[in-house]
Amino acid sequence: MKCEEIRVLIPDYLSETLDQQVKSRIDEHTLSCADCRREIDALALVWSKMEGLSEEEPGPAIRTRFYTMLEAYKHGVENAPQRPSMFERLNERLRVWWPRQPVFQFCVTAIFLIVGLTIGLRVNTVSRSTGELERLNKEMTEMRQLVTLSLLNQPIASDRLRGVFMSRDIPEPDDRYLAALVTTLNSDPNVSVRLAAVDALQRFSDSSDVRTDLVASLPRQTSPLVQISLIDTLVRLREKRAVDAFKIIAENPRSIEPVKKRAKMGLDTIY
Amino acid sequence: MSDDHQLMISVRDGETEKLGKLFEAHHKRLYNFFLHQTGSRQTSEDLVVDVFLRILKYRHTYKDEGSFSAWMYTIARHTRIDYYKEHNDQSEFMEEPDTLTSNVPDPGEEYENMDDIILLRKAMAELPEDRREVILMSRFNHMPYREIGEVLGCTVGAVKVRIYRAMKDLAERYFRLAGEKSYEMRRN
Ligand SMILES: [Zn+2]
Repeated sequence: MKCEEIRVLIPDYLSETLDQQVKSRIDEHTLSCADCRREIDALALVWSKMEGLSEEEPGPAIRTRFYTMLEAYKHGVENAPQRPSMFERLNERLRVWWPRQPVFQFCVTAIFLIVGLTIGLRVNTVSRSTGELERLNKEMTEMRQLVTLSLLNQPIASDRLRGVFMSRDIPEPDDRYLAALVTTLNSDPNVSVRLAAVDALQRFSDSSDVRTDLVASLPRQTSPLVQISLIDTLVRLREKRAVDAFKIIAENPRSIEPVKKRAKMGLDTIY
Repeated sequence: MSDDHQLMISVRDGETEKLGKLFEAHHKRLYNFFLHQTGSRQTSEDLVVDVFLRILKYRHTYKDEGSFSAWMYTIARHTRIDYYKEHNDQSEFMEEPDTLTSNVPDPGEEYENMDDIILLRKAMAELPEDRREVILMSRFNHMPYREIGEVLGCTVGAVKVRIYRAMKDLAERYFRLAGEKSYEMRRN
């Protein structure tokens, strides 16, 4: 056996999956070939160290996310409006000029059967790619959105935070998802989660509903950090409807100084 | 293995709730497969859920004569590639490899061994993506060559060569990190 042949067999040699015969030939070879011997020793050492790389358990949220996704999928499939299949659509058209006489019926059926089989085979292999894929992609986005929604309702703050961060993977969220983000912004007990929600919603500020929600959220916020972040966001958006909220904060004796200052600066900028 | 195949056939044919069994059987291994590649727990969890989502979406493409794990890892591979395309941060190790070592050893006696594991994780992290994945599939997931070949789209012979090259690359990086000159290997 040549050295190159030996080398490729080293992984099998180490995992002890080689025939006894082949194994002895390798052992024999290494008696006289120092290079191969050294290489086997080196790989054996790393091989054995790899035993130490243990597997770790994923967090508990992964299960929730999976089962939510599965439920959502089942639900979605059961409730999806039945799209008429190509055969049904074809059938619809045919009904109009379907021949009345049974003999003709038979002939036409035979012709359509042959034509149909030929077309059917082609359609199945070709047209699946474009329209179908687009639809699949859209459904994937919807599913991702559902999974993210389930994260927003988790009891552990880090999971909810992840749910908010995942909004990045949803370029065009639907109203239900945006509403969940707004609820998070308004009532999540954790400041980091609320802060992240401000950032997330800001990305969807093209929607005037989202801007309205951001304005309405400001008076509800008690944490100075969230207040400042919201003020900055609304100033950046040049949102005139925020003026009243800014005034209230600027004049509220319970607002802390940096927040008041920010609100006053905001008023100057927007006006 | 053929249990998985039967389950997946049922899922394909409409009993989608059976996917739960496949999830329970494979998610941990899949999670660790991604964890070794991305170094991020969060990303790995996201990717696992995405793989099972894709399994559902593409269940109709599962073949009667298929092998479930080869199919799943093919999907896993594409999921990871797509993820990096979207986030364009090629194989960035977001968490320090040593923070990923979950089996905290007893202090003292096992300390030396622990050091080795950190080095090995670093060496793994340095490996080019394609080499790392072939090691993960063969050494960690114990997938037969035939299945790895299916995932990578190459012959069993080519799989063996790839595993050998990847192992050699890993060993070289490991010994370089460990600073052990004595194991310097001949370059072909
Ligand atoms: Zn030799």
